Amino acid sequence: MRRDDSDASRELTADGILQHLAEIGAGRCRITDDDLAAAPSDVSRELLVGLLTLYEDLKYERELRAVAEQNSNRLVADLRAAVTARDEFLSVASHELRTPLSALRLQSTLLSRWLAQASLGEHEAELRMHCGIMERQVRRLEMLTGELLDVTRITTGRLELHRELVDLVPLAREVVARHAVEDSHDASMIALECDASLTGRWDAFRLDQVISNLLANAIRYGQSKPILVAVRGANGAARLIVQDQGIGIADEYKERIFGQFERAVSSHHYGGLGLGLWIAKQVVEAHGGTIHVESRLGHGATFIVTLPLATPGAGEPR
Amino acid sequence: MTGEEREQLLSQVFVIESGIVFYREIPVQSVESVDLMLGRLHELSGQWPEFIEVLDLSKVLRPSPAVRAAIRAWIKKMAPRMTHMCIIVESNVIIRAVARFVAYSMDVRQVSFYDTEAEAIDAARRLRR
Repeated sequence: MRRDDSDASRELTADGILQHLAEIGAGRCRITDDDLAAAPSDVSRELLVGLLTLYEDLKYERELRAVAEQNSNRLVADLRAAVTARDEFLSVASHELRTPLSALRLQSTLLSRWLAQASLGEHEAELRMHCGIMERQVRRLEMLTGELLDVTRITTGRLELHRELVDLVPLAREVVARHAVEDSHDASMIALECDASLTGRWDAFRLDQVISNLLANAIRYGQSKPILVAVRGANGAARLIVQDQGIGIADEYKERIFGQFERAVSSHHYGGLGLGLWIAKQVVEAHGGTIHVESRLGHGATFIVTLPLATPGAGEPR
Repeated sequence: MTGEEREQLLSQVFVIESGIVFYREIPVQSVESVDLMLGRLHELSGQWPEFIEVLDLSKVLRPSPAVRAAIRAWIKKMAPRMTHMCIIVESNVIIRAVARFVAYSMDVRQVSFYDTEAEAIDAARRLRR
């Protein structure tokens, strides 16, 4: 680069150095290797080398950051597209699965009724058992597709609460009774401790789902030991407690288990989609409540849900 | 890079005596060459709690920003154990300035410059005693 007199003079004075620094700060630099070679003294040459190196290093870092940002933006866009595709797939798949499942449910119910009335001779007991298994598996399929549908409802902000005055005590009693029938081999030791009544403006269907998910978890991981379900009022809130004495949860999983498709155990050993606690958390939080777990590995788990009780003039249904 | 080229580069980094490692930089460096040679320096110096590097920069051209970034990353790992850099620059004042600038930016403060290899090694031995 050819330098004019003003360029040359900038090398030797404090003012000249400040001008170079200002250019570097503004992302420009006019120093070249030729300038370094032509510098009039060792001191000015060393200063110019320092400035040029600083400029090049800053520029390089800026370029690296820009590339990293581009990559990061592309990655985020790809991830968003993948999540959207997944949610769309889940939505379509769960909707499509519901139609044949409803038909299957109807057929299995009709078959059960027919079996109850018919005389089937020596294979009666066996047929009733197989029919019972089929009905349970259909219910399980309905529950799983329902969970998948809930994922898309929640992630797209379409979870609607139909609030009404609900008494949590009979609701909990009903869920416990239902599980005692459906999982009779496991649920014979479910104890229920309740206050007389605990009423709030809640969505009964969704709270049924929360209690059901927590109880199903307690049965699944409870190692067939006694389970306690308690519903109590305290400080203007209802507390639902589901306690098991099973395998427990390690500290590092206590937050993660409330995540989407998360589980603290291997999916090879325990069934489910890893959505029950996530859905429960979303539903509880949509009600303005909280959910957390207290547990030690090998010493069972206690899930505690707190829901605000109904107050006069409370908000309208969402 | 062929196996022969790798061996050639690795042979530029060697132990002079306990606690002193010689590193002869090649004229035009690349990120790969720097990773290979500074990796060897890291490996050789790993046997001592502290060491001195005798660095021959007499034949090198000004490194690119990418190479300087790679050098910084490696030297930062070794800086706590590297008690001194004895740098041979002969009369290359530009490289002397670049070396000082880069060393300072890596928190390596103990740097001295020499015209010849013999002077640098002597100085390293004196510092080691």
